[in-house]
Amino acid sequence: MTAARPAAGAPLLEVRDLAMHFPVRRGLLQRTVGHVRAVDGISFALAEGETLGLVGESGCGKSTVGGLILRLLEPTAGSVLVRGRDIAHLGRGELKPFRREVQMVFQDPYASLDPRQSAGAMVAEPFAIHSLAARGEIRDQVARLFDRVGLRREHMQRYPHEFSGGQRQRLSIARALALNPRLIVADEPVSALDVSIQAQVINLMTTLQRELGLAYLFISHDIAVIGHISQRIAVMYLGKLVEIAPRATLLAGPLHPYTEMLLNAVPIPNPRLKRKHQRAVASEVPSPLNPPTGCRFHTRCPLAEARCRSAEPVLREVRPRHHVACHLR
Amino acid sequence: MAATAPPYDPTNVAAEELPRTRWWRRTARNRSIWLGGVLIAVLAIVALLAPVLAPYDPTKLAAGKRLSPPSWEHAFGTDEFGRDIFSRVIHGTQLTLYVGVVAVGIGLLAGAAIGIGAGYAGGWVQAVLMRGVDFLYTFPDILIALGLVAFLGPSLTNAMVAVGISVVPYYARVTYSVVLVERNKPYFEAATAIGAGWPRLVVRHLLPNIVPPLIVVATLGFSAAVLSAAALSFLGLGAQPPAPEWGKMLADGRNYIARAPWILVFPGLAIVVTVLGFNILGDGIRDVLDPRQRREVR
Repeated sequence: MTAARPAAGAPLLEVRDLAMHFPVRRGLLQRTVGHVRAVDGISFALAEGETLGLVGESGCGKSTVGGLILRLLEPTAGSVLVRGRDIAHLGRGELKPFRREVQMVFQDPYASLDPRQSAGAMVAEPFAIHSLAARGEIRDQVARLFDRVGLRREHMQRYPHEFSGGQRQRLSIARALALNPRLIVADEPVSALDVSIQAQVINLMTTLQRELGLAYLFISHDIAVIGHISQRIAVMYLGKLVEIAPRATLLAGPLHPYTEMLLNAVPIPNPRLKRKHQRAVASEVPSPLNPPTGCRFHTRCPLAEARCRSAEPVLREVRPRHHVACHLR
Repeated sequence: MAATAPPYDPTNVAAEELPRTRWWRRTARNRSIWLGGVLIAVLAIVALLAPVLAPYDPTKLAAGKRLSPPSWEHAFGTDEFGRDIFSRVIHGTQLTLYVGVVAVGIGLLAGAAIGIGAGYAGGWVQAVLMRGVDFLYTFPDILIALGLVAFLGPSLTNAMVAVGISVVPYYARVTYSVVLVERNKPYFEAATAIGAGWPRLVVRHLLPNIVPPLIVVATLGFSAAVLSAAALSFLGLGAQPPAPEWGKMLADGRNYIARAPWILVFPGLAIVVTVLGFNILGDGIRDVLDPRQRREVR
C-alpha cells in the first residue's frame, strides 16, 4: 500500500526533455511517412500545492503533455518524474501506485464519463480498483466526496446524462479526488462550460487546493482563466515551451512575442496591458508535421530576424524565475 | 405562407424531460415495438404450448385424408400423407425459434468475441482477425452454410450450427465498428487514468456500451437466420423428415402447388409472419435506442 517513496528534495513533478512524436502512416502497408511532433522536448517542474498553468493555441501539444504525465501515452523521449521516480516507461502494473499520486480531470464533461455508469459507481470505481476501502465503507467515502464537490448524495443513482455540464465536471473532480492524489492534471476543465459555471468550477478547484494541498497542472487555451488560477504560467507553441514565469511577472511583462500576442487577444479591460504590444500578426499556425526551422514562431513573429530563421532559441532564465526562448530578449 | 409555430408554452415540460424517463416513454409509445413484440410473444407462446395447442400429432399419417382442403376438422388442410398442416405449422414454430436462437447465439457470441478482440487489441491481432473476417465476408452467408452442412452432414442441428457460423463475420464486423467508436471516447481514457486494467475496461465499460447496438443487429439478424435455416431445409440439408420444419414443408409440398396450395401457403405465411415480427421489433428497438439513426434512414 505504500506509494512511491518521495526522494529527498525531488519536486512533486518534473518533466525533462519530454517528447511525443506521433507517426503518420499512409497507404496499404501503413508505412511511416513522417511524424507529428506534438511535444518536442519540454522541461518544467511543479512543486507540492502549486498551480502551473499551461497555455497555448489548440494543436500546440498541451493536451498531449497532459496525456504523457498521466501515462495515457508513452513518450517518444524524455522522462516524467513523480517525486523523483521516472514513470515514462513503466508497465501497467508498476503504474498502479503512481495513479494514486496523479489524477486527471478531462476536457469534455460529456464524453469523459461512461454513459452507462451511475454517478455513484463512477466515483466508487477507484476505491475498488485500488482496494482502498472495504465494501461497506465505499458508499460512505463516495458520499463524502459528493459533499466535498458540492453534489447531492441523492444523485448517486443518476447517470451522467441526467447532470448539467457543471455537475458533470464536479463528478469528474470527485472521481479524481477518490484516490487522494497530490497532483491533478486538469485538461481544459472549464472550456466546455458556460462562463458563469466556469467560475463555480474554478472556485471549487481553488477551495479543494486550499483544503487538500493539491497541486494542479491547469491546461487551457484561455489565458484569462489561466491567469486567474495559476501561480506560474508556461506558454507553449508548436510542441515547445516558449516562456515560463510567475503569473504576475508574465501578465505584466511578457517577454516572448507569442505571449504578447496571446495576451493581446484577451478582452480584459486592463489599461496597463491593453494596446501596449500590438505587433504580432494573427495568421495560420504552421503544421507540427513539418515545423518551421529555427525559432518555430518566426513565421508569425513581427520581430523576426535572419537568425530566427536558422538558429533555434533555447529556454533561458533572463530574469529571476523568468525563462524565455527568444533571441531578442 | 409561413407555417404558424405553436406559441411558447412554459407549462409544456415535455421537451425538458430527463432522457431516462423519455427512454421508457419512447418504448411504450413505439408502435413497432408493440407490433413486433406482440407477434414474437404470440409465436413464443405457440412454441411453448405446441403440444397443447396442436389438435393432432404432427407426424401421424392418415392415408384416407390425403390432400384434403382446409375444413373445420383440419383448419389448414392436410398434406400428401394426410398429416394435419395446422398441427405441423404449430410444432414448426418450436423448431424455427430454436434454430433462430441457436444460430444467432453462435454468430453473436463468436462474432462479438472476435470484434472485441480486434477492436481492443489493435495492431497485428486486429489485422489478422479482421482480414480473416473480410475474407469470409466476401462469400454469401448461404454458400458458407451450404459448404459447412455438406461437410458436417445434413441434419437440423448441423444446419443451425452452419447458419450460426456463416453469420459470424457479420456480427464480428458490426461489433468491431462499435468497439472502435467506444474505445476512442474519452471515458475510456478516464477509466485508464484511474488505473482500470483491461478486464475491467472490457467488462465494465466496453460491454455495457456496445450491447444496445448489438441487441438491434441480433434482432434483425434473427429473421435472416430463420430464412437461411429454412432455405437449407428446403434444399434437404436441414431438418429431416418427418420433422415439421417450415422450409422442409415448402420443399415437400411444392409438387402439389396446383392441386393443394394450402400445403405451401400456411408454412410460407408462418415464415413471413416470423421474419416480419423480428424485423419490426428490431426496427423499433433501434428507434428507441438510437433516435439519430432513424432520422438518417428517413
